Amino acid sequence: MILLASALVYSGCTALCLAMNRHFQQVLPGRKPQASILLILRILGWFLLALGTASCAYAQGYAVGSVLLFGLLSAALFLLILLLTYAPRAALVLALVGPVAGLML
Amino acid sequence: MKNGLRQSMAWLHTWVGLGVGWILFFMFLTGTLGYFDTEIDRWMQPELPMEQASLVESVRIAEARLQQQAPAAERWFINPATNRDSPNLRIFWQDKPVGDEKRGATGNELLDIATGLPVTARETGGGQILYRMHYALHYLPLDLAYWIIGVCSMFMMVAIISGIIIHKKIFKDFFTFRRGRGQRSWLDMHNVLSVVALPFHIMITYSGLIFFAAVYMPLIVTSSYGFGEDTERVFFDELLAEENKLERANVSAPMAPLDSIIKVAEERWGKEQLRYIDVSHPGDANARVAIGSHLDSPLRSSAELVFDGVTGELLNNQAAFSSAPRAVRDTLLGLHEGLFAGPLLRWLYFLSGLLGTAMIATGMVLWTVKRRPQQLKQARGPDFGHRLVECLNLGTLVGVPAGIAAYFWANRLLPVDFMARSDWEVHALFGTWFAACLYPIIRPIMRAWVEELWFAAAAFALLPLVNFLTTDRHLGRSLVDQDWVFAGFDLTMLAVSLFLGVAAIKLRRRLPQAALNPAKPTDYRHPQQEAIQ
Repeated sequence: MILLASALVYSGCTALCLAMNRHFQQVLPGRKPQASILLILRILGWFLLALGTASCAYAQGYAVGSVLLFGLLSAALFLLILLLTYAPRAALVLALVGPVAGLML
Repeated sequence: MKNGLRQSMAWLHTWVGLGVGWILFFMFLTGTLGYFDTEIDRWMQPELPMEQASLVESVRIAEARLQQQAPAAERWFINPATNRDSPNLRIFWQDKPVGDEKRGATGNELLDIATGLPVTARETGGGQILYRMHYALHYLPLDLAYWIIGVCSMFMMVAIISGIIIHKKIFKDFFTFRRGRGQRSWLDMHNVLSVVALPFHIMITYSGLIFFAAVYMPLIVTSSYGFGEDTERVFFDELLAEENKLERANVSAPMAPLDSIIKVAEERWGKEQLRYIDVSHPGDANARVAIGSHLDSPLRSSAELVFDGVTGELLNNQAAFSSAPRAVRDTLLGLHEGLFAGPLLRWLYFLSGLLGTAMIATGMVLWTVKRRPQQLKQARGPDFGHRLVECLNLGTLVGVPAGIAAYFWANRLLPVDFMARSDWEVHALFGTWFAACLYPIIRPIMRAWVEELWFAAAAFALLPLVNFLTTDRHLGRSLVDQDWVFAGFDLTMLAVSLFLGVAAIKLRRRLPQAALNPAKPTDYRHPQQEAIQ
């Protein structure tokens, strides 16, 4: 459950990041995203973060779960920003693989 | 000061950050290590046995030892080895005050389950002294230290708020880090480190201030309790008083067996939930036994079951929550200490602390990177003030980590029977820090950076080797035994070493040869400005 929560938080952050034109082209160079795609990514991002929040609360209760959520957000954002700069493709792959792995384990 | 809100705030942020940055860096780094205080304790006392005793047996041993050591004590306190915060069975006692003493003498021991006697291990400050430094600063009187860290924390709060105000593109640049662009990259990284863990930075700074609120705002206590030396103590005694405490009856009575009392607690809370046993007036007719549960949420107070110490009857079931104002305080302190955190959350706390430490470090570096080109153009070379900041930056940003490595080295290398060894562990830390600040005086600054980074990297890299040579708990064995405290410590040292080594290599690559082999070693102007960017 905690792995899933971590993966959801990371993927949510990544979706919100890709919803920005500049970062979309950083990860997928040469593709100009349509406005609708960016909107969908933004909605998806917030949805995933909401799911991540819910799984934190489910796994550890509201009190500890909310502390966990902030901790995961910091870790996920920092990892994402480093990956964006040094291995942009990996940032996307991790966002896709993470939740699947979280569901299977 | 400049006109306009952003300009004023930028000025404030720069100079406040510079003024308290070095102490804050030290506080953040040693405080962050505090999230693994008992793990560091264990590494620093490798002789201690690994305990696997049952709760009932631990309590029986503790009770026997307390009967022997302090039969007439006012209070006994037993911490069984049931969680990471107390990895060994610990007993504590407080005697009745003698004469005009306000409080009786106290004693405490770590017990070996196998023998029932105190464990013998090397004298060390351990992770506890390291953790204590982040608010007690070691060499200074406590009151002065609290004021210094209070002023620094207050300015940290100022720096956080002004930092948010001057970060114009906080949302637009939320995910932005542009590498290889000199000053721009340092600023990007400073922003990233600040923003991604912003809730942690605010929480840790604000709650840090709350810890010593009564020191910084003594008049609040004074207004209800009056002036005088004892009023603060009376205030805290009343704030933290246990409701069920009685005066001693001065009639001796046999104690109810603690085993049966523990059983009642376990039936209510489940196994492994018991954190401490607190006996007041043992052996007296008015004996009380309070049993506390583990901290399982940020609220930093335990649920307690209170028993009659003679009959063993359950008298009171106190919830962890007592009053709203106290719960707010306890929650802030609990969030700061993170005692409730399991392994994953503990690592996240550790990471957040490191992000905060790195935020301060990048801010300090940014100050010099921004001014260096201008300073290097001056005919007479950089100003004294600039050179001072350069020295203190290098001496602190690399010197404090190197000092912490020296602290661990001293723990392994000082003779085990050396009396003042825990003092000298600390001297090793501060001595290294001090030397690291002086070193750049005799070396060109950029060269000193590379050399000190290599020195620190080597100091951390060799720690697992020193551990291998001086104890029987080397990394190979810890991994095979799945002893994650020892394995985790050694692996973390290697990771830190790798980070410092990579920093040294990257920095060296950017320096032109001239900076590394200057014709005149004292000539400060040799490192070209692009060298740094």
